[in-house]
Amino acid sequence: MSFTIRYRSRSAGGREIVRTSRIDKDIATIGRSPDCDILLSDLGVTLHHATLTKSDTFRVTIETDKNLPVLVNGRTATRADINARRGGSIRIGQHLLSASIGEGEDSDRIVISVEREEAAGGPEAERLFSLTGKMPGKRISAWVFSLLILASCLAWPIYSFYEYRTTEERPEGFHADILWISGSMSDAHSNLAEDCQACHTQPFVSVRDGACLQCHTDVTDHAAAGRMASAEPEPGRWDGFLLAVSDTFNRPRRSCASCHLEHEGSGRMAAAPQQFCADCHGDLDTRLTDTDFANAHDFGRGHPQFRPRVMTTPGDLSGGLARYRQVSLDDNPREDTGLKFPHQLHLSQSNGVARMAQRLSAEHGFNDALDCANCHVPTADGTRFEPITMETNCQMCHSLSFDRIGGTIRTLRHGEPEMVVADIRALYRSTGPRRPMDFSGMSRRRPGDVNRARTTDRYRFAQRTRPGRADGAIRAVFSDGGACFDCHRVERVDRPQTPYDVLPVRQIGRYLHNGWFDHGAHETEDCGTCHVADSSDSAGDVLLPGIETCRDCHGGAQAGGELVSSSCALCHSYHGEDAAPYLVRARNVRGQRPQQVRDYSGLWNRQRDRRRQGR
Amino acid sequence: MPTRPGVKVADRYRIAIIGSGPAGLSAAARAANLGLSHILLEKTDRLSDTICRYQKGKHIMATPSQLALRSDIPFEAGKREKILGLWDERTAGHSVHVRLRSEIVTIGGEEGAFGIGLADGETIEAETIILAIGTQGNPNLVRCPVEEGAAVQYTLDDPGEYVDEHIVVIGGGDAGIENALGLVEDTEQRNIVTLLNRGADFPTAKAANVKALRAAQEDGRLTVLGETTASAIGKHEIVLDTRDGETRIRCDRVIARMGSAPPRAFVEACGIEFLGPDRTAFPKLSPTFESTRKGIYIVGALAGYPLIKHCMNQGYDVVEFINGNSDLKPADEPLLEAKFRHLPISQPVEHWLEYLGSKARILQDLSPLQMREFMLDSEMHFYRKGAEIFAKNDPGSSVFGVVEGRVSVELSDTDRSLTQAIEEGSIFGEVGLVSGRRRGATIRAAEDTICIEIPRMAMLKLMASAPAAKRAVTEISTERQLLQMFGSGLKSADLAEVMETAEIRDVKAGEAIITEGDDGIDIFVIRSGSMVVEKTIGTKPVFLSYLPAGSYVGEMALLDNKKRTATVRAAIKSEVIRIDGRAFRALLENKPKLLDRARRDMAAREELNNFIEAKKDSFSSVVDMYSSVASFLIENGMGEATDVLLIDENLCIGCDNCEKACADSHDGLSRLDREAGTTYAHLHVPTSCRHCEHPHCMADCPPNAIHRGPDGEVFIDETCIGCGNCQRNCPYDVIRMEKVPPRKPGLLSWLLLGLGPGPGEPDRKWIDKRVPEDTAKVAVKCDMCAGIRGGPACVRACPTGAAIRVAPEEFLSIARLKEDTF
Amino acid sequence: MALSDADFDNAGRPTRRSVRAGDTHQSLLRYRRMLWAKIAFVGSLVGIVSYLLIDVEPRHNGGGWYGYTLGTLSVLLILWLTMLGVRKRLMTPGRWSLKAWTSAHVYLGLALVVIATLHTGFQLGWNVHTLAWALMMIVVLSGIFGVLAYMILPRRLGSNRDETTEAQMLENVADLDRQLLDAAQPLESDIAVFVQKAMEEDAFHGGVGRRLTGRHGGSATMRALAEIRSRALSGTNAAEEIYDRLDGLLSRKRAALGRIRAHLRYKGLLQIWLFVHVPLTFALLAALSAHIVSVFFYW
Repeated sequence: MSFTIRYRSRSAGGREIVRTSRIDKDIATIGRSPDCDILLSDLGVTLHHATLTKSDTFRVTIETDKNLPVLVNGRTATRADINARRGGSIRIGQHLLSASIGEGEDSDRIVISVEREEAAGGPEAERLFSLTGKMPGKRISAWVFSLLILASCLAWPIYSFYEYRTTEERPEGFHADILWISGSMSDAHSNLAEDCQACHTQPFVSVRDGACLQCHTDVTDHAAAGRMASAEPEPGRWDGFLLAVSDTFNRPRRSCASCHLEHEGSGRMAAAPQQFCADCHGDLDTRLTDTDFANAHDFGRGHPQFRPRVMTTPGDLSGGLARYRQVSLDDNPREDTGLKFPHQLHLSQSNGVARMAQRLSAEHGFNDALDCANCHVPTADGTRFEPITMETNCQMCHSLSFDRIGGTIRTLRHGEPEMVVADIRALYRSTGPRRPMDFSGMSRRRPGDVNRARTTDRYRFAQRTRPGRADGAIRAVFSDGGACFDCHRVERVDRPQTPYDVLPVRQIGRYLHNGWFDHGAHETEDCGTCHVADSSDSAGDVLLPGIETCRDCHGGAQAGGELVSSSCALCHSYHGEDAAPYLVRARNVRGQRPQQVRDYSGLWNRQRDRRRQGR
Repeated sequence: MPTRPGVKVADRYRIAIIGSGPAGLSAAARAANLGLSHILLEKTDRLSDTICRYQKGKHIMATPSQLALRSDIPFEAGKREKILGLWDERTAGHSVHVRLRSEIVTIGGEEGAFGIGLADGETIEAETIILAIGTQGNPNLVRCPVEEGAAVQYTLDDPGEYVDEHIVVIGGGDAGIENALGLVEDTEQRNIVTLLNRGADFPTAKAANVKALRAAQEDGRLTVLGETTASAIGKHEIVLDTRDGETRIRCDRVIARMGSAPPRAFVEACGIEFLGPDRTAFPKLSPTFESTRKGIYIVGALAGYPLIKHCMNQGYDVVEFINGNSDLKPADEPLLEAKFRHLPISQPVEHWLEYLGSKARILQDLSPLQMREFMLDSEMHFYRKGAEIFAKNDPGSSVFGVVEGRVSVELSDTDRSLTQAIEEGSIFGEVGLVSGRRRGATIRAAEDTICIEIPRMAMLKLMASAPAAKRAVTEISTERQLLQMFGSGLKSADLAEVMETAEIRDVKAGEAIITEGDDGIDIFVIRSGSMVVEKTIGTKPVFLSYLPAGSYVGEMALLDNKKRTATVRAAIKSEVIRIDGRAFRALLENKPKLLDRARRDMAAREELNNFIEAKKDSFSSVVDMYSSVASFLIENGMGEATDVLLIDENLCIGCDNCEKACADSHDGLSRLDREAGTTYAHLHVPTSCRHCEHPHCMADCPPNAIHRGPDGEVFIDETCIGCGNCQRNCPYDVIRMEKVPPRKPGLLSWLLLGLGPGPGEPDRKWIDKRVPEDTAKVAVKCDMCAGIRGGPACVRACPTGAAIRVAPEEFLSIARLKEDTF
Repeated sequence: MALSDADFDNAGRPTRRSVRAGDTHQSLLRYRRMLWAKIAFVGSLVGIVSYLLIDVEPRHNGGGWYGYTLGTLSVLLILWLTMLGVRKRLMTPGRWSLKAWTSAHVYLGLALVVIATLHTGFQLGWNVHTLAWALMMIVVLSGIFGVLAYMILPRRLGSNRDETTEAQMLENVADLDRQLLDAAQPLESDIAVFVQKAMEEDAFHGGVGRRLTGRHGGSATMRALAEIRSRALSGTNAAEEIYDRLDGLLSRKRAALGRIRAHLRYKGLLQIWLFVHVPLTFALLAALSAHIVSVFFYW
C-alpha cells in the first residue's frame, strides 16, 4: 500500500476537480507514456522521466532517468529524498508534484498531488491584436513630446530672458531665446543676433524707438512731430482697421521699427519703400498748406523741377552777408557770386587763353586748351569739388607781378586792396627817372645851348613830377583793363589813401540742399553732358542741369529698362542729416559716412577779419 | 374536538393540498395558520420543485407589482436561492404538514371523503382537495427496464457537478440538447456524453441549439446517435436499439429529457371539465376556484395564473373559501375596482366581468377567473362622442374592444368626414398584434363609448387560451387587411364573396407560392413575413424584388391571363391569404377603381421584369452579382428586417468605433458585434438587430418589456427582468444578457490622463470589479438609437462610411444595380 | 372597414427619417460628392493667388496683416482638426456624422499644408517657428499615409479575415495546440521538443517591425513540420499515422498563424500611423503655443 495520486485541475467555472488513483506498489514511475503510474501529459516530460520510490512510511526518493534534472523543493537534482511529513514539491515541466502524508482511508499512504500550472492567461484579444504594447503609448508620448517642447522652446527662452533682464550686455555664447529668432538679422545688426534683449527690452511690448536710439544717437527727426502728424494722410477704412488692430496689440505708430523691418534675412536692411514717402509728399500741400515743398511721389512721374539755392548777391563792402534765393531752374535763375568768369572764354579751344594754356602746358600740365578739371578738383569723397582759389587756380595765368628787383619778382597781394595801393606807391616813390648822358640833344643839331637847356628842363620836370605818376598806375590797376577789374567788381570809396575796394567773392558749395547729387557716382559722364559751360559767357549763368536731364537716365522707383530706377532714398535722406542719402551711402563702403561738406561762402571775409583783428 | 394542525381527524384531513409550488405552499401555510388539519403532498423530494429547477442564481420578479401579496408566506423579488430558503423556513415555521415523494395517481370518492391514491400504494383521505400541480406535468419517464441503482434523472441542475462520467442524454428537444452541451462545455470535466435522438434530425429544437450541437459533434466533443432508443439501462452500461441493430455503450448516468405530459389528462381523469378542447385551455372554475367536481379546488398555473404572486394569493384565498369565508374578495379586487371606477356606469366588479363577457365577442367563454386575470392586464376606457382614441401612426400594439357604443375609423387623412363605423362588440387596432406596427388610421368615438384596451401580450394569451377569440380575431384582421390593401373605398360588404374563398396559409421559408410558368390566377396577400420574387434567367434564378408583409402578388396572371411570369417564394416563414382568382376578378369587374390601382402596381412590376430582361445579356454579371447579394442578404434575415446594419468591408478599417459609439450612447453596453456575422461580396452583416417584422424576441417576454417603437425599432424597456427568453428566441443572437456597468470617468480625463476604460464598452474585468456579484443582468439589444437625436450612433460614428443602415426595400431595389458605391 | 390608399404604401412601416447624408453609402473621400475636397481646393487656391498678388514689403513673412491672417487661419484649422479626436469619441446626440468630419478632416488637413506654408513665407530656420511648421508637415504626411491605408487595406483585411473573428482565430490556434499536445503524447522526447516549441509559438511574438513586414523568420512550426516530415520518410510504420496526424495539425497551425499574422499586419498598418499622427499632433500644439507666445513675448 503506498501511493495515492491526486490529479488536481480546475474547470472553466473555477471549480476544482480532483481525480484520485491509487498505486499499490512502492515504486511509481513518472512520465508521459501511458504506462507510467503518474502520467504527465506534458511534452517537456520524457516518456519515462523519473521514478518515485517509497523508502519508508513517510519518505520517498525521486530518481530521474538519464539524469534529467528536476526541481526538488526548488533545487535541481537528479536524485533526492523527500520527507512527506514535512511536505515537499517536485517540479517536472509544467507540473508540480507535492508529497504529503495521506489521512483517512489513505492514512498509510503517501499522497502525491499533481497540479499543472496553467500559463497565466494572456492579455485579452483586444490588446493582443492591436499595436498597443508594441508601440510607446500614444498618450504618454504625446505628453512627453509636448512637455519637452514646452520646456525647451518656451520655458527655457523665457528663463534666459529674465536671467539677463538686469545685465547691461549679455555674455557671448548661446542663449535659449535664440530659438525664437524669426529670421536672421540684417548685417548692420548681425552683432545683436545673440542678444535679443538689446532691442526687445520689455516682454510683450513691441520694440520701442528707445532701443534703436541707444546706438543711433545722431538721428534727427524728419520734421517736428506735430507737423508730421498733420502731414500724414487720413487713413482709409482698411488702413484705419489695420492701425486699430496694431494699436490694440500695442504697436506704436511712426516708430523706427515701422519702417525699418528687422529679421528679414541677412544682407542690408531694405530701404523703406517709396510709397512710404509718397503717402505724405504725394499731396502734401493739401494738408500742410504753408509748406514750400512741392508735391512729389515719383522721380519719373511726379517730381518738381530742381530748385537750387543760388546766390543773389555776394554781400557788400560794409560786411553785409551774401543773400541766397531758392529758385526753380525753370524760371532761369541768375546768380551773382561777385566774380567775373566767362566759362566760354576759358574753355575755348582757339583763343589766347588756349594759346597761353599751350604755352604753360609744360609747366602746369594743361592740354591744348583748358578743361573743367584744370580748375575744378573733386573733393576727397568725390561728391563735390574743392573751392576755386586765386592761388591754385588763377594765378598761373593771371599774374599779379609788377616789379623785379634783382631776380625776385614782386607781386601785388591778392585779396588786399590796401596793400596793392601801398605797393604801387612805394614803387613810384623809390625810383627816379632815368638821367640822360648829356643834356644836349642826341641828334645832329645846330649848335647852341637851347637843346641842352631843353633836355635839362625835361629831366628836371620828370624829376619833379615822378611820384605823382603812381596814382595813375593805381587807377589803372583798379580800372577796366586793370588786373583787379578783369575778375572782380571794383568800387570807388572815398578813402584818401585807397579810393578803391573790391566786392567780396563767395562760392556756393552746394546748390541742392534737400537733394543730394554725388559727382563721384557720375564719373563716367563728361561734365558737358549736364553742365553747358562752354557756351556760358557770364558767371551769372546757373550751370545746373534741369530735372529733364537727370530723367534721361533716371526713372522712378518702378523704372525699368535703360533707366536707372531711382526711388526717393536715392537722392533724399529721410532723417534731415546733412549726409548722403541711404541708398547712396549703401552703395559706398558700408558704414563710411562722407564728411560734412564745408560751405565756402565768406572766405574773403574771414581773411579780412583776420587782418582787422591784426590791427 | 379541537384539531391540531397536521393531525389526522379520523384518518381524514380537512384539506389535502397537492403540489407544493407557490400556490400549494401558500394554501398549506394558510391552512396551518387557521388550524385546519391539512397535508401538503409533493411528488418530488423537495418543495416547489419547479422553481428549484430555475437556473442557479436566477433573479425572480414579483409581478404584477401593483398586486398586493396576500399570503402567510413572504415573497418579494430576489434570487432563486434566497426565496426558496425563505419559503422552506416559513413552511417549517408554520409547522406545515408536508409529505414528500408522494405522487398522486388517482382521486376517488367525493366531497367530504376523497381517497387520494399515491404512487407508493398508500391512500390518503381528505374532505377537500386543492390541486396546485401547475402545468409542468410529469416528465415522460423512460419506459425501458431500468436496473436497480442505475442513475436515471429527469433534470439537470448543474452540469458542472459531473466529472469523468459517461453520460447518456435522451431526447432531441431543446432541453436535451442544452443539457448535453452543458455537460461537455468544459473539457476539463472529461465527461463522455452521448445524445440519443429518436428521429434523424431535431424538428422541435431551436436552430441555434441544433447548430451548436452539430458543431460539438464535429469537434468530437460528444456523440449524437440518431434514430436510436434505449432498450435497457444498467448501472454502468446502456443498451441501445439503433437503426442497425442493438449496441451497448458504457453509461454511468442517464439524463432523460423526453418532454412532459401536460397534467390535463390526469385532471380530466379526476372528472374535471375544461373550457375548450385545445391543449392550452383551462379547467372550468367557479369564482371560488371550485372545479366542476365538487370539493376539488384548482389554483395556480393550472387555473391559468402563471405568476407567483397570483398563485400565492389564490392559495390563501382558496383556503379561506373552503373555511367558509364566502365574502372574501380576491386580492385583485381593489385593482379591478380601480379599473372600472371611472366608468359612467357603476356596478360591482363581477357584474362588469359578466357584462364584458356577454358584450365583447372575443371575451365569450372565458371563465370568471380568466376574466379577472385578463382584466388585470387590460384597461377600461370611456370616450365621449368624437374623442380621439388613437391617431394614425401612433405607436401602440394594444387591441381595443368596443364594449358599448360605436367608433368610427377615418379613411382619409384629408377629409375627416370619410369614415367607417365599427360596431359594438367588435374590435379594432388588431393590426398591431400581427406586426407590432404603428396605428394605420385615426379612430374616434362615434358616440359615447366604452372600450376595453387589451395589451398585446394579454391578447396573445387570450387567443392562445380561448379558441373563439382567436377565430374572431383572425377573421376580422384578414378582412381588414384585404380592405386596407386594396383600399379604393372598398367596403366589407364588397368583400363578402372574396372572403368566402380566402384561406390563410402558412408558408415555410423558401417554399414557393407561385412558380414561374404555371397557370393559376390566384392572388396572394402576404399577411406576415415577406416574399422574394425571382425570375429564372438562363439556369439560375435572378432576384427581382422583395415583398414585405402587407403587399399582394399574383395579379399579373389574373389581369392579362398569362402564365406566371416569376416565382414567388417565402423569404422567411410567412403567412399568406390566398384568394381565389375568379372571385377576385369578379370583384375587380365591379370595382373599376380597384382595377386601376391593380394595373398600376402591375405596371411597376412589369417594368422591373423588362429591365432584367433587357439587362440580362448586356451585363448579366452585374445582375448575378446583384441577385446573389440580394439572396445572401435575405438569408441573413433581411427578409424580415425593417432596418439592418450593413458594413462595407471595402471601407471598414476595423476601428470598432461603431461598437464604441453604440456602447457610449447606451449605458455602456454595445448592442452590436462588428466582427461577428457573415460576409458576402464585401457586404458584412454584423450581428446586430434587424428589427424583424415579427420579432422573435417579442414572442415570449414575461414582463412584456419588448415593444416596437415609432420608427419601427424593436426595443426592450426598463421593465426587463433578465429572464433571457428573448436571447434564446433570437435566431440571430443579437441580444446579450449583461450587467449594466457604472458610469465611466469623463472623456477628457481619459484622453488626457487615461482614467477609466476609455470610450466604448468597458472590459469585463473593469465591470466585474465595480458591479456587485448579484446584480441582475438585463437584456440589451439594438434599439436603433430611438430617442437619440441624430439616429443610429453606429452609422454616425463610422469614420469611413462603411456602416450603413438600410431597409430591405431600399437596399434590394433594382436601383442598386446602377449605383456604384466606392 | 376600409382604410385609405395611403396606408398601403406604409401602413405604419418605419419611416426612413433616419436616413440622412451620413447614412448614404459612400466613402469618406466621396462624401457629398467631395464637398470638402472642393472647399479645401478653393481655399488653398485663394491662399496661393493672394500670396502672389499681395506684395508685402520687403518680403513675405509671418507678420504683417496678411501673415497674421494666414497664421490665425492655420491655428484655427489645426485646433479644429485636432477636435476630431474628441468628436470621434464623444457620442453626443445630434445630426452629425463622423464620416463628414473625417472627410473634412482629411481635405482641410491637406489645405492646411498650403496655408501654413504660405504663413511661413518660406522663411525657415532653426527656430521654434519652423519647428511648429515641420511638426505640422509630419503630422499631415502621416495622415496621408493613413488615408492611403484606409483606402487600400480594408479589402485585404476583410478577405483575409473571411468571417472569422479575432477571438475565433485565437480559439482556433489554442484548439490546434490542444490537439497537438494530445497527438504528441506518444512521441520520444527528442522530437517531442520540436512539437512543444511549435505549440509555444504564437503569432504575437516580436516587435513592430515584424508585425508590419509580416516577416517572421524561423517559425518553430515550420521547423517541427520539417522535422516530422524528414522522420516520416525514414519513420517506422508504427509511428506513421502519428506523424501524419502531426503533419496535418502542424500545417493547419501554420496556416492559422499565417492568417493571424496577415491580420496583424493589416491591422498594424492601419494603426501604426496613428502612433505618429496623434502624439505629434500634441507636440505640434505645444510648439504652436510656444510659437505664438514667443511672437508676442518678443513683440
